[in-house]
Amino acid sequence: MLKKLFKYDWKSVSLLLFILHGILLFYTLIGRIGISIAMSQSASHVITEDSAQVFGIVGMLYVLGFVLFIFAIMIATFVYLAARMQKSLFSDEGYLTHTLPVSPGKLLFSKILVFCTWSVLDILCVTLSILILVTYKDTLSWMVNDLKSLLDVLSGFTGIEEQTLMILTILDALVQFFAYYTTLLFFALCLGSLFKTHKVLGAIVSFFGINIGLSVIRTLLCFLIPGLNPFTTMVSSGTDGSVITQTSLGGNELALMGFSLAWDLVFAVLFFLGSRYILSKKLNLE
Amino acid sequence: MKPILECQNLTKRYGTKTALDSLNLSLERGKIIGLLGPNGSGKTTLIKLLNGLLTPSEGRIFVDGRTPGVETKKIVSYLPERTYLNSWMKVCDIIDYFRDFYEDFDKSRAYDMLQKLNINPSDQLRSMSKGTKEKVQLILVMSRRASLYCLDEPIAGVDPATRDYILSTILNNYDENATILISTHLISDVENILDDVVFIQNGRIRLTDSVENIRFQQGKSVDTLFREVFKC
Repeated sequence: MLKKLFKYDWKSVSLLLFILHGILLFYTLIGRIGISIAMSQSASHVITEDSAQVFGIVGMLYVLGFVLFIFAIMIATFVYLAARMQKSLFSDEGYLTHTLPVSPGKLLFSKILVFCTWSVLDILCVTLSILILVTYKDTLSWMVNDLKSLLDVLSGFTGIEEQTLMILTILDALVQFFAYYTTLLFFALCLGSLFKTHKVLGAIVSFFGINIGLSVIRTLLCFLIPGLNPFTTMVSSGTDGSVITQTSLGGNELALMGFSLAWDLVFAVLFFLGSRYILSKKLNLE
Repeated sequence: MKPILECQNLTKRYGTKTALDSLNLSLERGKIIGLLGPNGSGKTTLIKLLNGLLTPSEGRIFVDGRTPGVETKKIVSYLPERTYLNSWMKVCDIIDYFRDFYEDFDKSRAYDMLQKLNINPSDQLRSMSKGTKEKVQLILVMSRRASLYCLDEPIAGVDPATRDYILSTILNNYDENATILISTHLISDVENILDDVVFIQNGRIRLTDSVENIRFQQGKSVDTLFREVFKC
């Protein structure tokens, strides 16, 4: 059943998103071709000063458009997916969704999978676009060097502590993006459905309210639990016998990252269970 | 044999408004039952509760002896009073969707009914009129071999000719042991196909009786009795 749910959930959102991301890639290719032409003309000195100015202005406008496009497509993908999921679960379409002989857990899981898959595609597409636009002979060597440095850290050449920290950082980023925020979104949609009116507004308020609330609690906990404090205080005695305290940033990065990872995982599970509970025990399609 | 639907002190409140008030009801199998009542009497709420779209405030509801869930959804075919179709689909897509999820869905029966109503399977649902969408929904619902059909206002939005076709579709497409629960205001149109009626008012059962009894013992049509019971 999960496979079938995924198939239809995937179909319901993908057409528009494929078109949008296709447009981004097309726009990138146009830019790449334009830059290549400008570079070859510049190299062969056939370009006049006026043309160079025009190329410069057009190039600047293009880059501005490109940056805006990237931001817009990432936000649009998130908002469109959230809106589609809300519609599928809690609008008139919900009458069909919730009368399917499928458990609420599977309904949720299928939608979360579609959400995560499109998030991955979105990131890949944006990364590919940026790479297409910025990869040249000169820049390629920098990129390869940076990638080598990252691989060195990951394979432990720079020390076990740095390696662990990097792995935890990457894991936490993945868990936060694909598990924490995705399940928080679905939990917020479910909470929004419990509002008598303005269900969408309720979902938005729930999403930001929970996110801000938990961020504040997490920050406070980091400062209150000694092993997690991002600031390290050193106490030493001076030559004249006075006590010198020095506070510096850093020292607990590993513990902090481990805590962050555990926090995100625990809340992702709680958000999923909370959403499932609302769908199975508190559903009210009025 | 367990009743197909049983409600025990079923109560549903929307805030301070009580839609169903300690309702007790038991429906037998193999009958066409009219769920009749004025606007706001609780008909749709009862149907939504048995489909698991609402959660009871108090009391219990059982479909085939089970509380609404995955197992009951396998045997209940529900036609809501609104359009629930995914607008991005074509008619043939929604037929595949039903076939994928409902084991009791009969695809050939669906295509047969589409042909009789001149609906093109490759038409996009978003381009259809409200009436045509309602016909498609009814075809989907009646193409299942369910144990309980819940039809909420199935003939409200269609013309009289289509109304006749829908009623004959309902009559010709259900198994002997299946139960059909029809909620409607258009009593004179449906009373000829009903076996039993349930009158509901202010969330409470006002009367349950067989149509035969109403006709032969009380000497009235269901429509006349409805007008008497719910006289304003």
